[in-house]
Amino acid sequence: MNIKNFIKNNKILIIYFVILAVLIIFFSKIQENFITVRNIKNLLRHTTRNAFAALGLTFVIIVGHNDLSFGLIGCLSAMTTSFMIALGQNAIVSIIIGLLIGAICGLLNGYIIARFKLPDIVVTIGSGAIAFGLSYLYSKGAFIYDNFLTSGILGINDISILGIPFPVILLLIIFLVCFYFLNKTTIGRKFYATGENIIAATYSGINVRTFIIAAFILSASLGSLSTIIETAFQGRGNVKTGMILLLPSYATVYLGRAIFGKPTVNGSLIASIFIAVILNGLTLMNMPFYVSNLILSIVLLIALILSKLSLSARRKKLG
Amino acid sequence: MNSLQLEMKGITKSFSEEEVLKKVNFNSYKGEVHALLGVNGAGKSTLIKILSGLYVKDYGEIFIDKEFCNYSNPHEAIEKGIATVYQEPEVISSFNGYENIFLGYENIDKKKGKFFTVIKREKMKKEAEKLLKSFPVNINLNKPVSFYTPLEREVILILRALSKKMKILILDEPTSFLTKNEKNTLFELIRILKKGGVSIIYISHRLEEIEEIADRITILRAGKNVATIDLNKDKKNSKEIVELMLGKKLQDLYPEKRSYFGDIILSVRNLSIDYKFSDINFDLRKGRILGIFGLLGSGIIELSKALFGIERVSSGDIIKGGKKINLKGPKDAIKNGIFEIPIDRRIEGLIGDESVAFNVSISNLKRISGFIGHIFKNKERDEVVKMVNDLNINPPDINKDVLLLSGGNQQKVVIGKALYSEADIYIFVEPTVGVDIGAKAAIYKKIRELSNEYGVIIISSDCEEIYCVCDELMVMYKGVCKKKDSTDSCSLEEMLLYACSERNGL
Repeated sequence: MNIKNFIKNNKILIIYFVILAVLIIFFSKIQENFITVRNIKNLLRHTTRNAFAALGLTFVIIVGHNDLSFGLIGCLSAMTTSFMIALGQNAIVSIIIGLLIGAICGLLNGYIIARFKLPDIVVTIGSGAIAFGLSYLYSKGAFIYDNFLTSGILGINDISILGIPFPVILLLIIFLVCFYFLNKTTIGRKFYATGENIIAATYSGINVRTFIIAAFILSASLGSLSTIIETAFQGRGNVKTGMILLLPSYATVYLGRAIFGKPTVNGSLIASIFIAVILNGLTLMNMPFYVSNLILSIVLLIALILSKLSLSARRKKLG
Repeated sequence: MNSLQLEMKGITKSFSEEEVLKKVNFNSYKGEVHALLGVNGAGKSTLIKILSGLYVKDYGEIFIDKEFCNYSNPHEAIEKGIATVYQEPEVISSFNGYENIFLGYENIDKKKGKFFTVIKREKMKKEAEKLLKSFPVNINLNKPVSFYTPLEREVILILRALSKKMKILILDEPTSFLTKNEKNTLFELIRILKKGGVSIIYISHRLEEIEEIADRITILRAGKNVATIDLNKDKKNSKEIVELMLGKKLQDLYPEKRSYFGDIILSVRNLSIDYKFSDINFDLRKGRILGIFGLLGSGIIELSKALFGIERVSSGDIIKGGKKINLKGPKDAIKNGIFEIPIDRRIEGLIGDESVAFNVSISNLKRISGFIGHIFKNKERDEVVKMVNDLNINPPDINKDVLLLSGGNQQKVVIGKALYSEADIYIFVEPTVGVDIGAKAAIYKKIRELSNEYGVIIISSDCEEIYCVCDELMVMYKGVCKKKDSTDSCSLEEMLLYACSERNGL
């Protein structure tokens, strides 16, 4: 009986895992090196990069906003960190400064949007372009290699604990913290209340502006974390590191929303695996980037429609 | 006598099993101003919406110029010559005057079979000016409408109607936002239209305006015709009209009043918001429910927002516990122990797609949380279950999505949320709109209970509710306090009269 209930309550989740399994079997059939230690490491790399950014974006979606700038802010943070390394700065200090720059950009985004009630999409198109422009200033757009091998920054990607790569551990820690705060504390209640009905939230005494700003800070900081780890992986500062984050992150968050009926960090984490499998599989098949983008966009649109449908079904039930 | 322009016979309309119009008859002669009267909920606006094609009647017939008409949308109604000017004129504010006049009918040459029309501005402007000439107002038609005064906007809409050869003009509370002089200008326009043979249906709460402009009045009460009176033959005074609007019987819905004078818990001194209301003074006592009554445009809603910090006051003081308090937002109000049960529970009260428990505890999450805001689920469950039982919320399931509850139970959830905040002053704004009778009685009983320990204010445009539940009374009209009294020493008719008219006595 218990199993029956579980199936009944988690229909969409089960369907999701079935599709994911089919996808993995499909890729491993046509590409024999899909299930190899090397590729699984690659897969984890894709998953973590995407999941960090998607976790941050989830907060923005929860408060009912949009952020198109976190990837480009990530470019600025990654270049800032690289520049600090090139100047001979300690790796940890460089990373913290990079993250701080990201957080400040997020703060500005959130403040401008919440304080002046401006359209989030337009503001973040602007702020993203500014951040991207600024990231060229350090090296006029050239790669930054100086001191990379000696500074120790490569460690945040390379270190493993009990055979688990550090980025995966970091992701799980951040996920657990986000999950705890969103689901078990008053802070999560206030995030959701702000997004679901901002007027009622205000009338209940919630300082909605704070939560909108916090969401944008998280989005920009976690986007920056993603690009800084990618920088450590590549072993050089590359202005374009964060440019590819936007589409997969949105696809991830909305796929997660379609699975759980509302934006959640657990949904985003689970969905990020799916997105990474697609990206990784297509790369192995030597598909050019525009094909992966095309397929990701289709996933995003289907996820959007599905989450709308599940919402309408619920509304219908409400009568 | 002129000929009959409009005849509505046996109009019946129900919304989800509740009959709001019961065989209502209404007619109108050419060149006549016919006023439609009734208290809130009497069915006036439903009748008007049926006439203008926004609602479709369930039963009944409509004749225009003795011709049977059957239309089901506003566009067809306009084709039949019915024009409506609503309280908030529907204009596109960035368009200028003549563009708004011909909005949607830019094809002024009336050439048929054209897929699109090239707009002929000069011709449009000329036509508009020709229409305007017949009126004693001077409007610059080249300015965007956003620079217009409320009167000018209404005139634009009347011109829009005229350009379509209207026969029947519906004016819904046309003077709500007008000054006295503007009102006089509008009345002049109405007289000119009358001469032109247009029949005008006039809806207003302001009785002296009706006496001034109307030829006949029809009074509705609870969805039924009460009387149609020819004011030219049968001069009625305001008092008689108000009595007809109210009827006599009051339902056995209200809790008993008690005369217990507690301490003053909140004082308001000379409170004003520019252009909304001015110089409001009152003292709120424990044990005495204060009712603030007013109709549309009276400023009561703005006052409710000022007391909860949603709108900033221009001047004046709110004093609680001997200290002046400064409200910059609802958060400040809640900190100072003031909680408002807002007018629109779906938009302002409830967080949809979330459970009853979520919605109740949201107002005071500190009660159920500890270090870094960790929520103690069991504590929340126990406290919300207690609240649900206390308020008799049905079904008593704290995990149910709030939108699945009936209107009355949703309102109880909003009240539960307010109580959960542990405020000491509760402001109820229109607390029983869209609530069934059973829940209404329960809500009134709860309000009465609350008043023993806390300060309670009801702000409402439902006169019976204010009169029968409250102990103290304040009537507002056009942003000014017209009367303060205890409800024992003031009659319901008197109260409604103050809310409907400029005069200061019977």
